[in-house]
Amino acid sequence: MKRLIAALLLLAILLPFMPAGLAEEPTTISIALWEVDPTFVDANDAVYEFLCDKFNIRIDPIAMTWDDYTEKVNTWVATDDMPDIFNIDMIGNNMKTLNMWVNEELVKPLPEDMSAYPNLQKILSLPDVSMTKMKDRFWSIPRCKADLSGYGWVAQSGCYYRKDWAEQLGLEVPTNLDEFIEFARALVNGDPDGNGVNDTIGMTSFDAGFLVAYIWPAIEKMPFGTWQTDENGDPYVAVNAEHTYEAALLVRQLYNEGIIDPDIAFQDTDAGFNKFASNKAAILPFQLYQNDHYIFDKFSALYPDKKLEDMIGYLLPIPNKYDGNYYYTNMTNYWSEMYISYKVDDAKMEKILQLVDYCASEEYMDIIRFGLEGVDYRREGDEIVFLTEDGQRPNLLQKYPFLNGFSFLSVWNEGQMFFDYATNYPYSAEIINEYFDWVSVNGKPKVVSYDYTMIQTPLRDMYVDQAQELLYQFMFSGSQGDPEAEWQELQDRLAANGLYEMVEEVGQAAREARGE
Amino acid sequence: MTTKASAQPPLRRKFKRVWNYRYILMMVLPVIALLIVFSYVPMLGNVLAFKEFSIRRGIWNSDWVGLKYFRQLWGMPQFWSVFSNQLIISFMKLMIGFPYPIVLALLINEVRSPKIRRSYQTAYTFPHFLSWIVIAGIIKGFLADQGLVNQMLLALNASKHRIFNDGDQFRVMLYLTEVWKEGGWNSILYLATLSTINPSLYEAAEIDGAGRWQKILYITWPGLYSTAAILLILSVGNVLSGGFDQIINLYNSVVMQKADIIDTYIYRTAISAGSNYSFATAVGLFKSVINVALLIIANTAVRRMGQEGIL
Amino acid sequence: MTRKKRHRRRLTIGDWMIHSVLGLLFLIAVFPFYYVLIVSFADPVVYIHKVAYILPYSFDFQAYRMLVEDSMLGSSLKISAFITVVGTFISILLTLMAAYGLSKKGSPLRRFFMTLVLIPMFFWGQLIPYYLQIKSLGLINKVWVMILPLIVSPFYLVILKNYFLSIPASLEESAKLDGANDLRILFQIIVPISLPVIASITLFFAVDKWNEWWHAMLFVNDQKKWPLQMMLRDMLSSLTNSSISAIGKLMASKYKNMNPLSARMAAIILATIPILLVYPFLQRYFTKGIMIGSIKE
Repeated sequence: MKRLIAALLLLAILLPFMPAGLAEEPTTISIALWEVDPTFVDANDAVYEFLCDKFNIRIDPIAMTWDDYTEKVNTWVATDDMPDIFNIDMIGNNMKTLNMWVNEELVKPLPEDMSAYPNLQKILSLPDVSMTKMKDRFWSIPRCKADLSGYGWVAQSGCYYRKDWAEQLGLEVPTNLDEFIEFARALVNGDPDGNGVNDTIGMTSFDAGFLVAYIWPAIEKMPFGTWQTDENGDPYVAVNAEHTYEAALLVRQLYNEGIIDPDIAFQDTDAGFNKFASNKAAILPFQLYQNDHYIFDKFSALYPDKKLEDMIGYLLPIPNKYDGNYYYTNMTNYWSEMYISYKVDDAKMEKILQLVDYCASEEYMDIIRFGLEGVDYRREGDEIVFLTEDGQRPNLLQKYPFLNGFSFLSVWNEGQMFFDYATNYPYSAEIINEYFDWVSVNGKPKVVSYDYTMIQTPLRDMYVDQAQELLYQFMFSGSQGDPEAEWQELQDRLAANGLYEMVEEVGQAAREARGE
Repeated sequence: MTTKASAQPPLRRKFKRVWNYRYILMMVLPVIALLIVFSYVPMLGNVLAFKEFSIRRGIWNSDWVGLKYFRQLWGMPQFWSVFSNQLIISFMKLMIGFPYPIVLALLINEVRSPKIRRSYQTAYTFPHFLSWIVIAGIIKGFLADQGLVNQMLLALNASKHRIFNDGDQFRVMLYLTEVWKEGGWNSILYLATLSTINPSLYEAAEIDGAGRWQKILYITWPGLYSTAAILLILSVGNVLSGGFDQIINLYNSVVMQKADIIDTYIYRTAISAGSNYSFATAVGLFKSVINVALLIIANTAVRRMGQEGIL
Repeated sequence: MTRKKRHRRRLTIGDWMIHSVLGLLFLIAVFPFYYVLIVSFADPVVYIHKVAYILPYSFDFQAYRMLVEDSMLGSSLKISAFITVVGTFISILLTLMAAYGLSKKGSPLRRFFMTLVLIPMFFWGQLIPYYLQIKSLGLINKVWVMILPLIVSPFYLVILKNYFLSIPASLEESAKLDGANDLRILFQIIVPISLPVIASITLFFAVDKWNEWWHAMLFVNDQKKWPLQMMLRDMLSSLTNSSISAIGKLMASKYKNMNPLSARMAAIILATIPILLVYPFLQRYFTKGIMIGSIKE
């Protein structure tokens, strides 16, 4: 007996000094995130090692691409074969299935007390994020932008144009809708590229959506396809907003006149940019950030002896002709959500939340921007000094492949990864800065309501939304017929599809949810 | 022999027959086994079309809802329009796309040099290897408002053609490009069949003074007859199945009325149907039933004309 | 046996007409591939400027460099080769046997088996039941998941069976009298005279298996086991979505003004060339089959 006690005492004393093999096994977390692959979790990757040691985990990446992720994730859940963490945009897209997931508890809700995870708690308390609660719990972590200052959304409503052509034709930058139309007309008819053929396209873009989104708020502040609440507390859809017809009519007229690219409704997404860069198009409404590939690289390659500042300019939003406001795009802070499998036990859940919380922290952002402190850089007061030979930022993505796939594990931060505003061109960053400074002060967000995003009703499940399809037909068919008759046809069709019954049912459900 | 056979009890006779044909049966069984494992077992899951799929309960324990999802399909606003679009487009493709490989095979067969014959045959199959994404890109580039075709029309002082704004022209473009893409590939089988025709038949006909067209009519074409009949029946049976890749890459809102088919319509308007497996299964079943019905009609017609059907 | 005199008949008008039609069709058929090729090595700057890029105006192989630099491409090529060779071999073997078996009019249960083969052409299990079955067979994430489910093709089987039906029975009867069993008859008599059709179906199988990526996408998570088509699809998806994709941006930043269209074209060329190399091997079987006496009428 005495010997037994002595042995146990000895063991107790020695236990802290035992090799790591006797300590807790690391938890393996399988994560399905866009474009990750097994090469991103290498034992030699210092950042990955750092995270593994910090939380005592291993990561098993499950591949999914932008093209097939919806199918894959839905299949996994439907066949009870899901990874521990998976990401998909269910909210607002697929409420019926999401409700099934929640009702059948196929995903694990977040703990009610999230105080141990301060970064996540901050995200969850944002107004539009907190609306994603279902049955009073959070069933996912909505994936927000890392930078919540909103520059991203503001810069969404931008518009580029050929500054050199405008100057050549002696045109003033337009300040309102009529001036804008005249401006576009002048560029189309003035043969600015001087090739003797009247072939200049006025406006083109990535797709018809961006182009329409630029002109639309000049007439109707409610973007097409969105919902809003009227003064009685009932919902209505954009097709019934006050000036929707006028806005659609204007686009149709511009298209028929030849100011809008005739191929806008069906060209490949790259075609618009090629036209803009090769002297064929004058105006390009599009987001203002991450355009190196689409615009600036092309221009600097095609015109090496000209300056970007001379060739490309930007336009402010067109003020609304009825209330004079400058409207810019407004979206939710989040896009897509992170779900956690129901099979995860509480201990693993803790690890997962710790990891995700860390990856939403400023500390992790610093790793993404600068690397590991002490290894890649060191702080001197407010300055960052890189410890590389030439003092430049090292190529972190090459050095730490983990960052390639997992830098946006918790939050979207495409900008920070590379450089400010995700651009190599100081001029591009300048445009964004100027635009943001002006619009965030003088502009207003577009009028949209998210009260109805989470509502799911039987009619809504079955409703087939043809609004955009019919709108594009109205605007881009080149028809010379009577627009009023065609618009009436559009309205009739939507009514026949059951639009109004559906809206009413949603309104009812919303009232009930509000407790009225 | 006959007396002996009929004197045996029926069961014994059956076993004897099986024993006689034992090799034949052994040859057929692997395929049957694979079909059971990979086709029939999953096929049982088609009951999903009549159930409200609950992931927790699994396919078998989910609730029955009868024809609910079929009715949802038939009740979709444009359903009958897209259904008829699909039938029309498929049949037109059949009208143009079915004879073309045969004619092509006949023409190639007339070329005397084997080397040239082979190069033609190989070259015609090239578009088959390209996906519709690529070919659609090429087509869009050339038929766009500022594309090559319109440029040439302008140069000839003709007016621009806007195929992508006009539903009927768009459809014709669908038929022609389908043939362009698959015509050569589909002719491989015909060419192979043609090469099994005994050359001495041609020699005999030549001696009898037959011209080129008579040879084709009386020797070549009959050789293709049975292959063509089978392929016709099988193509009819696929009427509601194909076309998605081509149309999804080429169409746009303006031509949708005429170009939308069941698959593209559902894909676009009910993206959540992708996870509504009951609905997707109902759609699949509906299409299958129609396809089989059409196939039986085609099979009967071919049998009436004296050829073997597929059974 | 008449000896064919090797004389060159003068080309008739009919011949000219046929050649001109075939020649035109040749150009139309070859054009897309040609276009893909020249765009794949087109300089992005030149490409943008040209209204219609129909001649090889420039040469810039950065798209190929980018694709080939990715080390995974080599292993996916091996996987594709394995799947195609093994899969085609098993497919053609089993299809031959089954088609022959089903063409014997006297065999028991023939109608029944034929129906069994036909039904899967029209009714098949949707995604979820299929996935569950694959999962229960333990095939998830295994290379064989891209081979086994794809072995049988009712379509090709019916075609082959119908072809066998057209071979006169007299051939087999005489072999049976010599004491041959069904297997020997199939492989030693039937197959040699059916080479063109069998070669065609082998080609169909090979191309189908080479092009397959769907099973890889859904069932194979390990990228080391991805076939070439899936790998390329993955790369192209990243590039096309380069405004949101990390890899796309990485690739775009390394290859400054790369045209994603060129990358897509280069990917297609790389993916298609190997299977086109199979053609010459099968071509010789497309020529006249070996005739034994005057069998075909």
